[in-house]
Amino acid sequence: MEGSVLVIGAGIAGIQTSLDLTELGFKVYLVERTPSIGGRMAQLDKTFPTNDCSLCILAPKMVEVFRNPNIELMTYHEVKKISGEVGNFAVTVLKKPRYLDETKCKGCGDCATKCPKIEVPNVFDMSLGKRKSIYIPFPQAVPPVYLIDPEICLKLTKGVCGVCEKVCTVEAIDFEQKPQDIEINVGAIVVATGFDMPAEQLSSRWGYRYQNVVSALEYERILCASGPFEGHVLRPSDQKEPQKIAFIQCAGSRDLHENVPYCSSVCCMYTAKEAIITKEHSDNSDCYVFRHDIRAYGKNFYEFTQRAQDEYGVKYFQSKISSIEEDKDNNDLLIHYEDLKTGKFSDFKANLVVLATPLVPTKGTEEMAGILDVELDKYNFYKERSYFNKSLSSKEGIFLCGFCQGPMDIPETVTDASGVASQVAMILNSVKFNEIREKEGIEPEREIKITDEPRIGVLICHCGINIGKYVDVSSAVEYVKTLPYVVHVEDNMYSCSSDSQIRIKELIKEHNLNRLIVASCTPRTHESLFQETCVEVGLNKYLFEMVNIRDQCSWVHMNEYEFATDKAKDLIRMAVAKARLLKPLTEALLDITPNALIIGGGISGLTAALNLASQGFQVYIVEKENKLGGNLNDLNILYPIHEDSSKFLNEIKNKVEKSKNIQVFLSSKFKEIKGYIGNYNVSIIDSKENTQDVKVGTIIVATGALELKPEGLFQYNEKNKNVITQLELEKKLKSDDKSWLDGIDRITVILCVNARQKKGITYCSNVCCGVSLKNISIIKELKPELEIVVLYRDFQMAKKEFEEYYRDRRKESMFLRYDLDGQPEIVKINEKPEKYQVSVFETNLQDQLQFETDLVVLSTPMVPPENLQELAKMLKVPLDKNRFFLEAHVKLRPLDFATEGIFLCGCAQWPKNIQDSISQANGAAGRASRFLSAKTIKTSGLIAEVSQERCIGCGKCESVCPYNAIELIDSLLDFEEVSLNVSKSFINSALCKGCGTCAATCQNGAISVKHYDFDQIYAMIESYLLE
Amino acid sequence: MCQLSKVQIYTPSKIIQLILEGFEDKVLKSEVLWDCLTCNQCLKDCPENINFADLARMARYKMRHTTNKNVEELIAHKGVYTTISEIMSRPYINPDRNLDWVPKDCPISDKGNLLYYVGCLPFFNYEHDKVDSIAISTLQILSKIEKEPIVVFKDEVCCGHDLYWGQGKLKTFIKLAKKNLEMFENAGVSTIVTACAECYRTLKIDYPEIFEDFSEKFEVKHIIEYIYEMWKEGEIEFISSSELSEEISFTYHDPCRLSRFLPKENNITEKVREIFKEFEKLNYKFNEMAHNKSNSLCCGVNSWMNCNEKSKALRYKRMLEAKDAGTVMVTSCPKCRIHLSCLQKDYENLASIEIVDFSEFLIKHIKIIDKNNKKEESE
Repeated sequence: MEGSVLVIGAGIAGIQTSLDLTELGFKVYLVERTPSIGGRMAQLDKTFPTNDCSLCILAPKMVEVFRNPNIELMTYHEVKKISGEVGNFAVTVLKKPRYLDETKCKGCGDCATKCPKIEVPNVFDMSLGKRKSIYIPFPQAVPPVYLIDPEICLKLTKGVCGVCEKVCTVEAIDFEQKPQDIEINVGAIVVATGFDMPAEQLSSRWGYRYQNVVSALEYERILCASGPFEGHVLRPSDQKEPQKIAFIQCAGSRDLHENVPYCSSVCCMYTAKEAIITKEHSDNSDCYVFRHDIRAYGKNFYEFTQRAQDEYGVKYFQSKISSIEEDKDNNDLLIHYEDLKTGKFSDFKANLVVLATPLVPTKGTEEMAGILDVELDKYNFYKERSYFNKSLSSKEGIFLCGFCQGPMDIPETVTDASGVASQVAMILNSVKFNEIREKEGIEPEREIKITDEPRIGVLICHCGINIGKYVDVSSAVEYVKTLPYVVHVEDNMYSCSSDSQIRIKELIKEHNLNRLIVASCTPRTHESLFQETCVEVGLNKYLFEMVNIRDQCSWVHMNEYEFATDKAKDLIRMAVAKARLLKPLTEALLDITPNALIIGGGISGLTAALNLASQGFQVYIVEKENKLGGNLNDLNILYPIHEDSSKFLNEIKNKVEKSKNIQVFLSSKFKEIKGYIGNYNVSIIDSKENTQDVKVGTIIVATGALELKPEGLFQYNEKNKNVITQLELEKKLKSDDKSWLDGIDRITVILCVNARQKKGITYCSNVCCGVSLKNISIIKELKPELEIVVLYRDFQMAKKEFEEYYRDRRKESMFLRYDLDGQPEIVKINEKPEKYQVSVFETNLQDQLQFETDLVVLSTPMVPPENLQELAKMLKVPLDKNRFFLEAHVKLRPLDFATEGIFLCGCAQWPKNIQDSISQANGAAGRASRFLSAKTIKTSGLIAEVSQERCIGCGKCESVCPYNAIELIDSLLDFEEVSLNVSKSFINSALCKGCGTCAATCQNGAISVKHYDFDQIYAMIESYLLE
Repeated sequence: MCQLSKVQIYTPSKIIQLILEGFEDKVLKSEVLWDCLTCNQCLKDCPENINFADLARMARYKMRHTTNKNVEELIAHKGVYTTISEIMSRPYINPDRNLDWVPKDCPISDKGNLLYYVGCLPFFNYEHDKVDSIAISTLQILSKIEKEPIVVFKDEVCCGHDLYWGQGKLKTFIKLAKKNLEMFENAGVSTIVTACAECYRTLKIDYPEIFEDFSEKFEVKHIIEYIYEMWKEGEIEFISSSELSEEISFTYHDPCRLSRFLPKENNITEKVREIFKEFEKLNYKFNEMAHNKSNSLCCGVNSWMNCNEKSKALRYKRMLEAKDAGTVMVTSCPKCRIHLSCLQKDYENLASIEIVDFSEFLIKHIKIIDKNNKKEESE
């Protein structure tokens, strides 16, 4: 069995799964067919609903992949052949020629500057921008390495030119490179090949052939500051600012004629985001969204689309598009559409049209499926083995992750990625850490005393011409030689090259250096490299200091040679002043108890428990009810595959009971939870007040959610037996006695009861539409002659299976649409048997309708259980405004809390269906097992520290710490004549991230951050000012 | 007896001995003199009359100029208040102070005879509760008694007390003093009233050291003195504010600047007690704390320096004494009030004591005596 994993595709799905896999103890081969990792997310401008800069939150992860010694990054490679089976796959990977040696290329870009070839459309910019024949896809590309396009390179096509070869100082260019097959062996394979947005395949009525009709992904590039128009909203035809921008939703998706019957699931949200960003970019622009249903069902999503309208003045039309034509004179667009609110056909003139075109499996999916020998579904997405575990492909050992399995947004993708990693760990559990590389040849750390005279060595990097051309490096070298405690200075072409690392080691030994400074590029990408080099020759890594004289100096002062040189000198002098005061810091190793606590025994908690148990960890499940299963106990049949809920639940319960690693505490809650990551002491108390203490290393919160009882709404009260909630209907359908159906001829289902409102519950609860449709189908089977009327606002059926499921149900019942302005009214007109009159304004028909009904079913949103506050306080984790648990980051850390060691999944985070709950549970288990697998956790040296003498226990630091790393501890102090209780702040080194917020807040200057303490910073400032 | 020595090892006599034996450098280097509260308790007991607080003040000046230690790190509130003072000392910077706290019925002016020198009180409002009510009460008292509008500067600068005593920033202190002098002169004031013990000591004693004729030009009065005089001159009388159902016992915390930092003839400690004695007619009962007058205990913090558990211990002791003496504790130094009430947040057992400033205590009990119709009218 191999302890390594092949990950195909290095978008956010592949990146996240690779990072998690290495932490779980596996070597990863990350194969990406394009020249850089990052995928689609790297192309996006901002991400909804937080409007974070997409690349800004992705780039750190890309760099992490780049630096990770256990990820073999194979960009510009393609998987060609796979044989074998789970545990032992043999894979042939084709290495495509970059025509340069990527181990030599430093990404300086000298070659591209000189490359004469006429520019061609840049694929990364969706062909809106241009690039040369030797190019890097985008500035933040990982690896930061160039490549040559053989189709347009003059040397490769015509045998002339070759200027890049001449200007490349590291001699990286190699025109002789040939494609090369590489054989690797892996235990498992993860497919994360993502999606395409091929607008050109749309039928002509969408008008994509016109210049000023762009796809949403093209529009992302237009919005992006690093895009072709540098963030100015300009239209392609004349590069003028468009005033009226029309966003067309469902442009081709949910459309049988376009062959894309499913909903692409993310367009409603990114359209709202793009409209908001457009408004932020230019006040003059007006944004119009031509919508169908609003499918914004994620956490705070629906509110986001409302904000677009209320705060940014984006106008939404509920409409159907018939065609888009171009006005030849000015390249404006004429949109012919039907306004569904008025039923009128109108024309709308826009300067720019953005199409939310369907997202489809990436090009080449069919071939890849052939190579993998796995099945695709009818839409060409990879087919999952079971609806309830969408991560498993049809073949054992091959996993699916992200959009290649079906439409999903980034948080869901990240969740999937972590879930896949944990499921890989389940099957390859016995070979964990077999292929993980530990650093070799590290010399024991040299003892450096504070009293030792500082001996500082400084390396100044030319970075090719990146620094060398704009800064007088040799004069900087001479200058730095004159600074105190500097014993050696030299310059080099590339400080980051491997021969430079050898040189650094020599220098440290030769000059007996006890501080090292490298003045070069950014510490973000390179600090850890130099630190590792220092560690290899026994120099504590915190005695290294890096100066950025490129990004913040040479790059921004390209036309100011002298100033740039002076600034570089200033920056280095400041670093020398600081380096003098650097102290060697230790990184403590803390043991992790390899046990997990799972709070909540619903489907999420049980799934997470089984996952962790099969990875060999002891799991404790604490459930407040007297049985496991949570909401599943009340459900009848599960949609959309109509499996019996009890059967499904019993299978899982059986597995839990059989597992020797799982201990269940029913009817129990917590007396106390104390401790921190790796070391929690949990005191569990049951209904008979018996307590039991367990020790765990990590905690997963899976507390679930409940159906809201709509007291007082739509005649829902104790007296009216025939006004029930969806869950109550579910229970009726589950019971064997179906006689209640006898007197019933018409059922009315009302969706969005007390949900998606301006006040009260503002969110969409995500699952109610599906549940309602399922129950329609079940009732229809039981009593086909029954009439069912559904009153709905929008249908949230955004999974690939759901659109058709929904369409089938439409045949079985009558669907009437209402909106918030015309809520349905229910009046009781007969007591026995109960009969109700329903009046509603149907917005599609623009007509007031009235009819009678025997049974009213209300679909209400899911709400968090009561008293979560108490638990949240005990765990020191936050709740959001809707009282669900608040994750660390809605986009990229949906399963983590900001407090390390605690995770969440399922409806504790947000209402979701069983498939998503299971996916999150596996993901949370994956996140948690990273720590459990590691057995120990290494604290950083760069952490905050409290001077107990100066602390006055005011507690301000505790309230601002984003990681809950600070605790106030009381102790009794004795003085002459008086004793008093004094609070002191303590920082948990296992939780502290060294962000320094506490140090900035402390009004007594009692907190300082190691490696960035006040003395060091003042020394830098003084050294700058005093010169 | 040194108050600090009750909570940490601190022996002024040893420090003085070291200096006398020629080890001044060693003392400066050890930086022990940053710890001194400058409460001057030791002076009272010193047979040689050595003014240790003054010695600490001068040593701080020297330490600032000889050692590398970053003094700002030692100062509570990260030195923000002293930074504000320093900024105000700059020649072209005139503060634009928020005068929102000035009550509507109190006419103020930028020129006139009587200046209410507010001090830094309103600046602390963002961090400490309702500090400006001291200023409000004081101004209300002054407006009630005076016929002319009271002078309140919109661009008032700091008196410099903290820089002088706490920070060893003599030059900045002198800059501030000069700025103040100029403003006093420009506004044509002759009487300066303040409710702050520190401002009072600074204007009364330290400014005349710099400007020879300061005392001739300006009469500086603490609000206690002002009220005492008005009372003695028969301008005002003290009345009960409302019907007190039961007797209220109260005590008075003497700030060091008004007790140990003034010449004997000044006598504020006695004047304030005379006023309080009068209050016994109004159903109040004045009780002394165990330590009082020139023997008063320290509020624990001086010049925004040393706030820590040692300072808390000192305050705790003081508050226990106050609790024994009554339910209300009056003081006449805003910083004493801030520091003592800050401690109440930490210790529930001290929360019951009401800490008020002299002006706040008095405002409801002052009545103007109309000399023309003394007998008929009441108000």
